[in-house]
Amino acid sequence: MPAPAKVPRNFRLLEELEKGEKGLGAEACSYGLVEGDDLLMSNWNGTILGPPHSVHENRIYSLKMHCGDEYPDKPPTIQFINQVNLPCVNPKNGMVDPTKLPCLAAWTREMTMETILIELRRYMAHPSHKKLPQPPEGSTY
Amino acid sequence: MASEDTTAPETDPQISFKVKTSSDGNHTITMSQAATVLDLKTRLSGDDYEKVPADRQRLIYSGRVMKNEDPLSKYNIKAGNTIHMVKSAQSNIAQNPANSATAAPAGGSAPRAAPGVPTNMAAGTANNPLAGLTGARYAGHMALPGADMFGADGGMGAPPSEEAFAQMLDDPNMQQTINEALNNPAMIDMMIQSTPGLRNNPHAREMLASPEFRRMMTNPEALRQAAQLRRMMGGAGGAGAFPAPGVTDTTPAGAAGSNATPNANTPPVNPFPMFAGAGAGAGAAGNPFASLFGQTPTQTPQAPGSAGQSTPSTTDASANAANPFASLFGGAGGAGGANPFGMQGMPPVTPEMLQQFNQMMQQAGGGGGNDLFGFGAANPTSPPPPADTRPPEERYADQLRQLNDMGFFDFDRNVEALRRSGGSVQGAIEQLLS
Repeated sequence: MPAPAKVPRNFRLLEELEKGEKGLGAEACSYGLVEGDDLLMSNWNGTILGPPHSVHENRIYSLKMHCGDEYPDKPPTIQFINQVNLPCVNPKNGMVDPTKLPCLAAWTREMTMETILIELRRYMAHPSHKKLPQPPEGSTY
Repeated sequence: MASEDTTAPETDPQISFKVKTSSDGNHTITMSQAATVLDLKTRLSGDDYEKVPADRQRLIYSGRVMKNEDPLSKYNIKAGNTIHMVKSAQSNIAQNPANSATAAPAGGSAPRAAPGVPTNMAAGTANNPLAGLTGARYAGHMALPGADMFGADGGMGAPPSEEAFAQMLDDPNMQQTINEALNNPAMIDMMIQSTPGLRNNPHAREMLASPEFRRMMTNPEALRQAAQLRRMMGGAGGAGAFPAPGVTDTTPAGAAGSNATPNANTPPVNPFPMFAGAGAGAGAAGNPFASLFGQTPTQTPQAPGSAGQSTPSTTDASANAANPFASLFGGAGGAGGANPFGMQGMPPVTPEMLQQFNQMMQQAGGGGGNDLFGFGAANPTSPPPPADTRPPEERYADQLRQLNDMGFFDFDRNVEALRRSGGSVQGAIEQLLS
């Protein structure tokens, strides 16, 4: 059986861009290019709407995502812009530690940036994280 | 609103896009690119749309939160694309006044308690300043850290890491509480009285009241740096290898980690040893703010004379007595290796103190030889710490003196012999005689 064709990086990112801009994905997450004319589509913004029934409720977390040349074979790097207290986030600069977030640690090329955002949101809502004391809303790194 | 559409000049490009709301509302809106986000919000607040006040709307497009003052053109919204609208909850706005009211007296908070109380109990009390009230552990001050500070088991397990403390100090409420506490002369009296090192220091009050000192104590960055420094000095043993100055249990890191010793209160790092030293017993050591909370020490701290003692069961206090400033240095003061007493408004530190401190640092840095505070008494049988980088004349000072007394005057040979014997005078003599 022949291996299924690999979607090249740019096709894949265009797909994700369309999905993000048209808002076809999950309601609580949004993402798009930082610069609309970025032909390489490397730098992305993302937002996560804090999950309900947690300290994150009603907060909006902005983060930066960088898709390297090897995306989607390698996961993007994720950095929070808004301060957040989570075990997987470096408290100094907001970088998400890929070894601590399950979906980044076990990345497959089928996953998308939306997958990460949704996973991060689930991570926030996790019973052991949802009550962590958080920095004041709106503070940034 | 409608006039906006009709009066838009032809040179002004229009865009139409969709707005999707969290309550499944879907609107198609056409607006001028030059219109601001606030204009869009105002329009959305109209009866035709969401009827949500503009200040409670939050708009997100393509991973960005849209700012009120920005024109829509800034966001490069393409035709037919979707903007998400999120309603911010009323309670969220009400939470801020509640937070800033932490210093208000307890009685005064009753009328404003209602908006601050989370409507959703599952939201947790971690951020709720009112939660601390129920404890009333420190009358007059609110927003004390909750029981969660001590871990899920209420402090029975490992004490919070330095990172946890730093995070706690990031909370302005906590800083405020510490400041409040330090503003209270009675509080300072108590701290001084319960810390032998401070009791004998005429400048203690001045120091505790100094804004520099407070900044040092409440700066999470300083704490992180101190922790880093400590880890560096501890080498492979991690935090455990460099005992917090408030702890005399210098059992090597492995044993300390397993709590095998009678004095099991070996916190990985105790950023506030001064406070911990004031309390007594395992509970207090795990709780660095013990004295802040107004706990009376259950055990009288030992007199400064016990400094030379090195039994593992020595109370915390004797360690403090060994060097009144050790805890300050070891705690927040360790940050950046700077001398915190060089700061303005601080009492000068005597050379002896520095020397004492240095000596202690060296001993601790050397991987914790088994006699941290007994520098007076030589311990000839103790093996030299593996990673000791001090020059041999310093490291083997005592042994060399003994060898000299016995008539072995060749420095190089003595050092060589001591090296081979692992610092044992007995072994060195055998080597020298063979």
